[in-house]
Parts: sequence; structure tokens; C-alpha cells
Amino acid sequence: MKTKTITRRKLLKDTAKAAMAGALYMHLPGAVFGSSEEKSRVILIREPGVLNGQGEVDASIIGRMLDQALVELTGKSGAKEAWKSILKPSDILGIKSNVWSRLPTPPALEEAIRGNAMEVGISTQNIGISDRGVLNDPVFKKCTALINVRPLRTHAWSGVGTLIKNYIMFTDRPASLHPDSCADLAETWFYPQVKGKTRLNILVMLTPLFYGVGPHHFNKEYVWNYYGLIVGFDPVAVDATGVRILQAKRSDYFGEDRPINPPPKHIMTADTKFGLGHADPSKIEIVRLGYQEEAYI
Amino acid sequence: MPSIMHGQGLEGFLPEQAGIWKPTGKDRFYQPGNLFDYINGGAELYLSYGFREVISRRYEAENQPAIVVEIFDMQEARNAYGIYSQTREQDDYTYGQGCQVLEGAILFWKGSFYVSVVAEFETPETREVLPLLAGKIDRAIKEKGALPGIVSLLPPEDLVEGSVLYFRHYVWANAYYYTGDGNIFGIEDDTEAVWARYGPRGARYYLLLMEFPSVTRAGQAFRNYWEERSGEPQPLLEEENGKWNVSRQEGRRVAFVFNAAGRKPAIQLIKRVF
Repeated sequence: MKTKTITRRKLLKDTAKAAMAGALYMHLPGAVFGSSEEKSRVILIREPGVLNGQGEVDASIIGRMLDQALVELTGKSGAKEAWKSILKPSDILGIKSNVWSRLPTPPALEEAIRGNAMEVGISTQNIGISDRGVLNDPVFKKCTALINVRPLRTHAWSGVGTLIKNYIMFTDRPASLHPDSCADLAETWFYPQVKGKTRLNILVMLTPLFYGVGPHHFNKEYVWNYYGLIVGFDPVAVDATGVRILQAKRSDYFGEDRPINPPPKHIMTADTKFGLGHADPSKIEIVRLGYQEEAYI
Repeated sequence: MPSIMHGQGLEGFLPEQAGIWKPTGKDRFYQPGNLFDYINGGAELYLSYGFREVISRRYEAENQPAIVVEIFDMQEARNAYGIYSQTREQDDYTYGQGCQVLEGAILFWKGSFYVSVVAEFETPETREVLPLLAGKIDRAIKEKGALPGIVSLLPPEDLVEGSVLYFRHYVWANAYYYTGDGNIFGIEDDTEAVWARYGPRGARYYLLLMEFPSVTRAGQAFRNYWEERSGEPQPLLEEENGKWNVSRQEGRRVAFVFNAAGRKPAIQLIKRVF
């Protein structure tokens, strides 16, 4: 047999893609970094007090975490200014949540967003919170702004349930996005009712699901208290950061590399094919606030 | 293997009572056309393994969490085994032909069926009744199934227990190691494929073995991979990270060994396959 070392990967069509794939997929050697662009900032904030002994969310603490993250992200001097910098009183706001029963968006977080939107001056009737009903929700139908908020978890077909994936409810034919393990999910972000409207992305990392079993892809064995939120303007960067944490947790738990199955292609294609944001870790600046132990990143 | 169609008997595997738990409400049935209504995006996993029908029955008892039992008719034993092989970490034969016992959950396969017994949460009482329920269902399913033939081709030396993943859908060709975008091997339902882990913890390497219905298809799979990757087949390859890959096509079979720490174990493994 002939021995030859591949120095340039053609498996992945370009170098930027190879770099991201190495970070997202594991077991893909030879990351080669692509052209430099402005970095995306994501805020990772953690606070153990956000969960009580029963795993219930402390509303005041999660509200404070969100405010702190947004202040850091926007560079404003305080929470009020920070919220005013992303929303205006005339906005019609859809808060795109996630109702998956095993790991839903915490209602306390939804209410914190709603409360801040009202503080900005948006009227109650112009704020909607929905997941599977977004296509028929009167607020979402005419919304001018979206805030995307959901927990991170593994997923049996797309690899992970992400912020990018959270907009799949904006199509009435979600199965059309299923081929190749949902590689083209980012397409939904360019639908007319969505495009350009997202003001903030919040990936809930309080108790992420890092492995799925059974028909409903859930067992308590595979969630852990991480006490975190990842907040950013770039959904791809936020998701890519969350996935790196999941990968690290899986390696720690199983005592060896255990790539997410199937690999979360949709995060990479959101960058390389759709240009939605950065998946390459070298183009993501992570700002860490609060609790630093066992951060897995 | 004879199929069990709706109305002919999936409910016949379910007990009328388990301890103090009794069925509530009507049994629910889902087929490929509406499985998404039941398990949403997770449905694709089951559809990729030939899913035909599932029965879902809820059991309740006073002051106790509900227990939901599901029996998936996967048409063929190899499909039921495939679903099981996706997530089990070790081979446990307490129930059916292989099972996973977790907190508040027992999952097993037997014959052409995949069975899930899950409590909403765990209590001392559910810890007693879940094995009872799983045992009753296990005994009610008389049929046993054979493992997919391709599994028997896996060399046993250094094979990691519980690491075999059997599939016939291209999405799972990236399960253990990233092989490429889309269906680069041309894996269809007529293709038998399997992943397995080898070697000690910390130095794992991975075998992807595929058996195609024709030599032509096997050749195409081998060539397509290398065309996507480097343009020409490289049966022995050192990656940029120093790990070794070995690949070979012989007749209808194609095998890849990925991520080996040295060339020797990779070559040994591929030789054992052929």
C-alpha cells in the first residue's frame, strides 16, 4: 500500500469550512483557518443561584443575568440603556420560545424579556410569546422585532436543537428542511417574516441535554446544571459556542471523545452557505461573566 | 418476518395492569405519515430504520407518576436492532435481545420491535413496576430476531463492547467520524452498514464497514469518497494530526478505518475484515 499525507483537504471544499468542521464535528483533523473577518462577541454568563435545590429557576436571578449579559454585549452603561439600544417603543415584538416539554424555555426568562420590552415602552398587545404557533400568531404575523430564546439540547436528527433551528416553525413544511440531517436550517432566517428582525439571541444553558436516548430523546441522566446563558447578536456564534460546551461535556462524561451524532451540519452551513454568522471559534470572542468553574470551554 | 398491522395485535403485547398502575385513555397509534405529530423531529430517526407503526399507552396510579409504554413495529429485526444500537452504551440482556436500563426508563429490542417503558419521574414504586412492565412485554413478544449479517463480519479483537452501530441511511455515515456531506457513499436502504469502535480508551479508532448490493455500487462508494477528499484513492493515509486511515474495497464490501494512532492497528483491522 502507498503512503501519502494529505496536506490540503478536499473533503471539505474550502479552508474556512474545514476550520469550523473541526470545531463542531470532532474527529476531523487538520483544521485550516480561513480569511479573517470581524469577530462575533458572545457573552457566557453563569450563576449557580439561578437554580434552587429542586431545579426551579429563580426569576430575579435569571433576569439579572440577562441584563448583565446584554449590558456587556451592547457596551451600554446600564440595563435600561442596553434594552433601549435593541428595541424601540414602536416595535411589535415576537419572543420566539421553545415549548419542548422535557426542556422548555423557562417561563421566568420569557417574562424577563417581556418585562424589559414593556420598560422600553412596547405595549403589552404588541408583545407575543410563541413557538409552534408563530405562523398564526397575530403579533408574530406583523412583528418588527424578534428575540430568539431556547435551551440547547442534542437532537436525534439535526444533532442539536439550536437557535438556528428554533426558526423552523416559520415554515409550514418543516420536513422539507430535514434532508442531510437538517443541513439547510438557516434558510428559515431569510424568510420574509424573519429576515433582519432578530434583535437578540439567548441560548439557555441552565440544564443542557448532552445526550439523548429513547423515542423522546431524553433522560435526566444526560442533563446537568450548567447555570448559564449564552447571549449574542450572531446566532451562529452563540450556537457554535454552545455546541463546543456540549462536546466537552460528552467527552468528560464518557471518558473519551463522543461526537454529537449526527454532526450539527446546520451550524456550519449557516456560516459557509448562508452567511448568517460565524461558526469558526477563531472568529468568536467569548466574554465570560459570573461563575467560572467547570465551564467546559 | 410477518408484520403486525394496526388492529391485529400491538396492543396484545401490553398488560392490562402492572402493580397499581392501570391504563388510562385510549391507546394511540401512529404511522409514518403522522409520527411527527407524536415525536416531532425525532421521527426521522425511526423513519430511517423502516418504522411502520407505534402504539403508545399511558398507565396511571394514584399519587404516582404516569408511565408511558411505546412499542415500535420496525418491520424487521435488523431495524429494531439498529434503533437500539444508536444509543446503548453497553450490551445488557436483562430484557429482550438487548436493553438499556436508565433512571425511570427501560428500553429494549426484541424481534422486529423496539420497546420504551418510561416513567414521568422516578419513585421507589416506579423502580419496582418498570421491571415488571418490561418483563411482561418481553415475555409477550415471542418473536426473536437475528442480528444483521454484517455485524458478524466485525473482527472481535479489540472491539469495544456496546459500540456497534448498524444503519442503512446515509445520515449515520457520520456517526463516529466525519466522512463527508450528503450521501457520498451512495448508501440506500439496500445497503448494510455498520460502525464500530476499536482499541483502548484514549486511543480509539473506528471501523466503517458497508456492504452494497453490487460490486459496481461498492466501487462507486469507494471512488466517491476519495474524489470528494483528494481526487485519488489512498488506501493508507496519514492525516495531518498524525492519525492513520486505511481503506479497502473488495467485491461488494467497502471498509474504512479512521483515527488509528498507528498504521499497524489500522492495517491489522482492515485485514481482519477481509
